[in-house]
This record gives sequence, C-alpha cells and structure tokens, in this order.
Amino acid sequence: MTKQENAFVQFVRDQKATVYSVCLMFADGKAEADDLFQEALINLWSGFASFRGDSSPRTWAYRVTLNTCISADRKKRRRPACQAIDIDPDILADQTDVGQQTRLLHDRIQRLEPFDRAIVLLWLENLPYDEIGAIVGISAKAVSVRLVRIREKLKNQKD
Amino acid sequence: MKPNIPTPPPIPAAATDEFDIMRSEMQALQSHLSQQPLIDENRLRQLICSPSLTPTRAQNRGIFWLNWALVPIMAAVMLALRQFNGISWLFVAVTIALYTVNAAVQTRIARGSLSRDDYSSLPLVELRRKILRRIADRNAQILWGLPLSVLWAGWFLYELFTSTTGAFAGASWRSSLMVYIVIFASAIIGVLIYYLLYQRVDRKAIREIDSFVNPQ
Repeated sequence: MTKQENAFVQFVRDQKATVYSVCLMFADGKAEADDLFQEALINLWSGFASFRGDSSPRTWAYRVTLNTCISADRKKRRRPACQAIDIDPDILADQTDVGQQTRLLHDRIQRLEPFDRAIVLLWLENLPYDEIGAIVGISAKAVSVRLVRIREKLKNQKD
Repeated sequence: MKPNIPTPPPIPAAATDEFDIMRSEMQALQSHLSQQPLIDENRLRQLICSPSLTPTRAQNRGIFWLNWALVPIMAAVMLALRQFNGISWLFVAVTIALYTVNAAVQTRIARGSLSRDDYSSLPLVELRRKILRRIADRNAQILWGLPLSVLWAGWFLYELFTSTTGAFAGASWRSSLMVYIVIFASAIIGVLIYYLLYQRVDRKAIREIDSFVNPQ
C-alpha cells in the first residue's frame, strides 16, 4: 500500500460522516445513498492526487460529494464491477431519536430543489458564504439572497 | 447487532426557525455517523487499488502520442509515394505541414481538456466554462478540418491521376477510384459520428448544469 493510499484511507476515516450525510440527504433511500457514497469515494480517490490543499479537506470532500450527488446521470456511471458498499445500519429506518431527527431533516431537505439543497447543506456545515459560493459557483451575495428565499420557503411549507 | 447509538445533541431552546432545527439535526446525524464504521477499510483499500481507478490522463496522452506519431508515418508514406508514384514535392510538403499543425492543435486541446476528477471537483460554473470551450474547440476543428480534408483528398486524387506509375494508371483506374472514395467517405463519416456523439454528450452536460443552477 502506497503512502498516498494510506493518506486516503485516513482522509476517508476523517470525512466519512460528512460524505455519507450529504449522500443521505440527496438520496431517496438507503440503497441510493450507499451507491452515492461509493461513487463519491471513487471520485474523491480520482481527485486525491490533484488535491493540493487550496481548501480544507472537509470543504474539498463537500465539493466532490455534492458534485457526485447532483450528477443527473449517476446511474449510468455506477460501477457494477466494484463490490457494492452496504452501510449498516439504515439510519433512515432507525427508530431512535437520531433516526427520527434524520428522517425529519431528510424530509425538509428533499423538499428543496437540488441547488438549494446543496446550499443549505453547506450552510449547515457553518461554511462562510464566500466558500459556499466558491463550491457551487455563485457569488457570496447570491448565496445570502438564496438562503433568505430558502428560509422563507421552508417557513411557508411549515405553516 | 444493534450499534451503540450516542445521544444526539439536544435541539437548542432558542431554535426559532427551520435552519436552527436543521443544523441541530445535522450535528446529531454527523455525530452518530462519525462513530459508525460506515465502510470496511479493507474493502476501501481493494476499491482504490483497482487499476481502473488509478488517476490517469492516459486517454489524452494516447491521443497526444497518436497525433505526433502520425507525422513521421505520414512523412514516410508521402516520401514513398513521391518515390514510387511521382506525386509532387509541394503535395508532400503541404501534407506533412497539415499533419504537424493538426498534432499541435490536438496537443493544445488535450492540455486544456477535462479529466474525470474535474467533473466531480470543479465548481459547476467552471466546469460549464470548460465544457463550452471544448465544444467550441471541436466546432472549430470541424469547421476548418472538414473542408481542408476534402481539399486535401481532392488534391491527392489529382496527384495520383496525373502520376504515370500510380494506382490510377492503367485500365483498372475506375475500381481504384471507387476504393479511394469509399475509404475517404468512411473516414469522413467516422469523424462526423465521433464529433456528433461527443458534442451531444457535452451539450447534455451543459443542459444538466443549467437545469441544476436555474431549475425554473
């Protein structure tokens, strides 16, 4: 195992919760979340050699995972040759407090358009507006405006 | 076996809107997930050690070397045709120059081309810009390359016809002409299929990015 492969395993160890939570929020269910998680890991590994630390590892993990999740043709790009990853347990079916909270969060996020979903997920990570803008490709001001609209939308849906 | 699930952080009493609640829920989820194995590390090592996943720009390198390798090959072919079929020095020189320019253009395109990790890691606006540039590069290639290819093929045909010892000399010139036309037409059709196929894929990517950023 090379130094880079070891570094990547350590990176996944550190970022797995971030990556999987994003996949879970974009997926319709556990099976799709597992597929997205596998695809995101493959994309992270593909780009790992060219990651030069311009942003924090967490921000980079977010960017790669979000781009993986929003890719509309992801079904075509799935790799049947790879052994499928099966995450245990299914947090969306969990009857504990965490499971219930995750379902509520999932429902709220699923109601948003994919672009808004990405912005909210980044905001929930406490990323500054300019960093969110850099990841999704819009200005910090546009992020701020968009967040206000999303907040209104969520509030209206609740009412 | 049921994993030991930690108690999530409580939702703050001051949580007044959906965003505050969602942030607390996300923190609880991540706190829970960080304590789960999620992925067997041995399986992860197997996954990343797969040769097909090794980051490489082999395809671009392949195109790069193929185009530059064609220059001496075409030079040798043209010199052989000059020697045995009597084609003109001007045609030999123009053909070598055309292939050299083509290799240089392909190199420029390959250097600015997208790699697989660009699709996953670039911001969408940057990705869109790069895809649009690639579409424009391909359009320019076809716009210049196709008429040039037709002109070159016509000239080549003329050279072969006017040479006394060439493939078009003698009684069987009609069948030679037919073979020539079939080969040339097949090459043009192949190039057009390649062009249309890749342009369609890139245009679809642009539509997907546009619909993502502006769903309305």
